[in-house]
Amino acid sequence: MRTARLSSGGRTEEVGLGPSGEASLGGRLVRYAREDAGGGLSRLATGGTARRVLAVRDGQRVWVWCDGSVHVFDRTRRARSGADHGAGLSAPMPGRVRRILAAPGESVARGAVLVALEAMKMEHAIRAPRDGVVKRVMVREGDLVDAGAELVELEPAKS
Amino acid sequence: MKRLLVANRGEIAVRVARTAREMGIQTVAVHAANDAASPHVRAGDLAVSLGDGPPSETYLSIDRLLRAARDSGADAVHPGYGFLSESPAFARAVVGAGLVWVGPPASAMEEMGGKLRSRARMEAAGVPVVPGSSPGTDAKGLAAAAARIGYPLLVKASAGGGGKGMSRVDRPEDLAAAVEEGRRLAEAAFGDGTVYLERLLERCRHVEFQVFGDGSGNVVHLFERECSVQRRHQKIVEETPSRALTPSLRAAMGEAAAAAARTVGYVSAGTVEFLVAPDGRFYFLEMNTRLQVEHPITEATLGIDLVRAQLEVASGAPLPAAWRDGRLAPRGHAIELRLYAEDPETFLPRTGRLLAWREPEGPGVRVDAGVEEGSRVGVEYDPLLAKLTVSAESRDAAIARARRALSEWIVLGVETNLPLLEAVLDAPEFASGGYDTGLVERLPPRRPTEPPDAAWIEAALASSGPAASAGASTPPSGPAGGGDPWDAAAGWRPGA
Repeated sequence: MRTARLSSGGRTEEVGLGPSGEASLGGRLVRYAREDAGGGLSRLATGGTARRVLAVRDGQRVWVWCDGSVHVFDRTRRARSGADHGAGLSAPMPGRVRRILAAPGESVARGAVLVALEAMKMEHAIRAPRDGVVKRVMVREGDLVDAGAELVELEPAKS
Repeated sequence: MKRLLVANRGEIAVRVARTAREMGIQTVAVHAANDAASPHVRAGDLAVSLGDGPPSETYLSIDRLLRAARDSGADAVHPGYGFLSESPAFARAVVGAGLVWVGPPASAMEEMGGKLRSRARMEAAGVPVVPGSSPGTDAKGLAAAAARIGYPLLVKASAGGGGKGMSRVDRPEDLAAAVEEGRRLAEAAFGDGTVYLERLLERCRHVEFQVFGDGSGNVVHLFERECSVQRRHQKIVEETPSRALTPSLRAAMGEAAAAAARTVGYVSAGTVEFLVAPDGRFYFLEMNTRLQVEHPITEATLGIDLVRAQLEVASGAPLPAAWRDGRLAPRGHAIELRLYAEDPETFLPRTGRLLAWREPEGPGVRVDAGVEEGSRVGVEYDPLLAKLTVSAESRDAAIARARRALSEWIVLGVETNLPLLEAVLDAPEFASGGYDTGLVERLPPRRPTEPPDAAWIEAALASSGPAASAGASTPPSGPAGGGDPWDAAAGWRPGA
């Protein structure tokens, strides 16, 4: 049996697939039958319920359409490394950096706008989550950034 | 009219090109360099690049659009909606270049462009407007106006828009401080401290009327669209007819809408927006001097083609006789649902590549899409991916049809507001028809549905398949789940 480690909506599961229609899901054994449903879709039956499914993999992410609902799975490694150091501020959405309102070395108060990000028709303010000193600014005005891209590194205020 | 340049992109450019083709008119599609692979480009008989750059230098560049029209031999321009569709300068430039402008005269756009100006114009024409004051800075004068208007009210910046610099006042004793605050905010935001007061109407519905004028002075209304399902003050679901209107209210509002359009010498398609208060009073909000996003629901219930009418009127034809004689009558019910690339909970835009895209089909289902499988959804343009319009004999049947169609729609690779649209359809408040603009805020939070076992298993199977984005430019070739799960691939490890 081979296993994939997947997480979706905060839940992480080891999914094991056996050679003939058996799967292990979070320690449970699930029997399934899968057949071609045409048009690229499959019909996957578990526990007496057949569902139409379509899955597409995109790097470490798998998108699954299942009977009208979309589920997003991320393939995760067992050992999680590179934990969030907690000092950086990242982009909540992809967009263009409109304005940078903080410079390295500058002291900022909690709530101060550090970066204004624009995506489609919306402007989104990235604010300081606490009082601190700007250590680094990783982007320039006009840059296109992905969701999750680090924008500003903030150090705790020296008291 | 032989060759029409469509100065837009996305679904509306595709939609306009389709009708033009039906009328034997060639179309010229325009596109930014980064947008060359979009479906609207192929929808045109000819395609002209507007070059590189952000929208301000492409779809919003009057110079480049006119050059494209000249280079392609176009004799008319349709602006779609958004971009330059409500720009009097563009309308004038098009006409000045000797081309036919498919839209209202620049003067009508100007009359309706400014909120305060259009408001004064409507008041003079006898169209009811939200009770308000004239703009000013004098606290005493505003206090007297407030007493006449009534509470609660809003202090608004004259130079403002989009809700900026607005504050709510519930009691007369709070007015002076709110006016001071409003003046300060307006001065800071717009460099102009002039404010005005407007009655705050609560639990209102947003109902608009389609109007249409021709060059011979005929102006008619083509019934209403209920647009109260909004998030962030933008519509996401529209329907017609509206449950809020009695036949007499409908007649009164329709007449007011046509009168509003007539006052400014309106030609072509336009929309007059009203607020309808719980007491059944209605108030002019604004006029949109263009084709609306939600125009297909009017087409569905009246059996007409608004773009065809725009092109005919622009060519000098009068409105069809049936329209002029009031012989059009809505039949059945239609609902439009807008599919946006955005988080269904936070409404923040989402981007990515559409790895799978299957549109719903079947009786009473119309999809106007500006994207297809493989399309990239970026940050430069509006997040509207497509519109679903359903029509049926009754409202209940239309809602059931909308649910069915949404359940068929397969969109993978980019997160969409589809769960929000489903939540609207499922809300008892929506089902009752008695909703107002606060509906979306009152919906229960959309919790992501727990994936069923089948989804986990399919994901695990696909986990070993080929990645859809391996080749940056090639669209995905079918489901990844067909791959052999026994291929050792990244993310897999021998099990215990």
